[in-house]
Amino acid sequence: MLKLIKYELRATARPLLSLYIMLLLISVFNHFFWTREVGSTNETIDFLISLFGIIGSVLFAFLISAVLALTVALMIQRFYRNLLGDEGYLMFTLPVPTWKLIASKAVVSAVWVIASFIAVALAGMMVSMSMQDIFHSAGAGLLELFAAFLPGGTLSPAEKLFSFQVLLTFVLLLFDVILAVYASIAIGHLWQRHRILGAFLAFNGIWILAVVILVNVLYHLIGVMKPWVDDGVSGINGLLSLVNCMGLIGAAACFFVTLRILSRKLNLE
Amino acid sequence: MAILECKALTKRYSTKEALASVDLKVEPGRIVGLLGPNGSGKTTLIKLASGLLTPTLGQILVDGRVPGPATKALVSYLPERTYLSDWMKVKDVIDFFADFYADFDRVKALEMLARLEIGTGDRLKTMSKGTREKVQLILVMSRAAKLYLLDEPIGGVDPAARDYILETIIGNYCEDAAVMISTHLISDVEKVLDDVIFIASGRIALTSSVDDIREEQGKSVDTLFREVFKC
Repeated sequence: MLKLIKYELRATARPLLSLYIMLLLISVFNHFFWTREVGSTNETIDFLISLFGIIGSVLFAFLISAVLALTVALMIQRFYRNLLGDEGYLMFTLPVPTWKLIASKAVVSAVWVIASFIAVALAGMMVSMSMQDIFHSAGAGLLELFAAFLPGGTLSPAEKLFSFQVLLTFVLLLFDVILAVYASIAIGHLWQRHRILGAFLAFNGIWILAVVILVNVLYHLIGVMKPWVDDGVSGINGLLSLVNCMGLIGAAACFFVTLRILSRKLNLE
Repeated sequence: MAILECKALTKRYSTKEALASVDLKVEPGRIVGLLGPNGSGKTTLIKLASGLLTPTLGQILVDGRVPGPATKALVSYLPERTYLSDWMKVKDVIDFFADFYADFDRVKALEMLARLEIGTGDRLKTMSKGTREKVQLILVMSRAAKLYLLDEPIGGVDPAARDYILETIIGNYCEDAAVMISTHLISDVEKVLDDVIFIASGRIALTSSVDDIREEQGKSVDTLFREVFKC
């Protein structure tokens, strides 16, 4: 599994890391021009500062969009091309179980989604803050967070559990989306023709089904949940546990649908 | 024990029957030609043996086991398609094979690549289709596998390249392993084969050793193939 993750990271790292570096460089460029005051010296310099500020802003917006779009595109493209395209002839004849092929791709996609959000957040901070301020506030924030979680810290056990549950909710939601995309592509692959259309319809179908199930479960359990909501953090923890269970079931269902199709119904062109 | 065995093996794609109740055995140490016209079921049989497809009915066994990770470690498979990733350099694919196949001989692969003047730093993306196919063949034949499944290895290449491919196969397979070569270019492969399997419309039409065909029927495999599959 680690070997698969290693090659998956290497296959995807170059384009994303290049974009991260460009985004961070343009953030430094923007920080320089956005923090300059216009109107103090002469008109030409003011004009150039304004012009570079506008160019930098457009590039910044473009690069943020590019990072997010490429993250999603790579998630889809790597699964489709590496497993269901010609590269699948190699991947499915490796002496590894199919579930590891799917799991390694999901883990690496999740890593890149998280890395992309960190890169975008860091870029945003770099525009408005100096590097010194960023390191100072990030360091202080992390220390504060760490201290709060230590025994005798400011957080109660229920609040610690709440923090953990919120983190878990984000992670599960991330894997829900990634695995739903994989399941959709796998379902689309069952079609003899119009496989992309099939995947698109399957993705919509999966989310409609997920919402219907979620609404039904919440509707039927509303009586059970009401005292939880009235019970402060402990109650919210109960609610989050339920949401996380459903997230886990959703991710597992998508994983097994994908696994079943790739194990039993694989039909490479 | 047979390295490859099919028992009433059937594969259907929706309404089309690609293989119909195929029974056959391939013994170790033999070079077997899987010969048949286009669409006869050759690729389907090889895909089933390599674990890329699952049977609709019947059974296929590699070294006595149903295809899975354990049998994939014993099978070296060359598909019709080029399956190497564009982002890789030659050294990356060598590392990849060495990482996943315990029987991969890195030194052998490097020697074969050097003979073709293919550098380990060369990018696959910039290679011609023919060169990529040769790299793929070298990787496949650098494994000490028990069963080599080569799907149309000489299809679509010039006669000089065919000779190189066949020499690479004959010069590098393990002698206690079995090699199955699927093709419809009979005259080119005939000289290297021990046994032949004729397949037509998903059914086995004939299995025989090449010596028997020559001695008992007084014909070349190519001539017999033309008679059996006469349109």
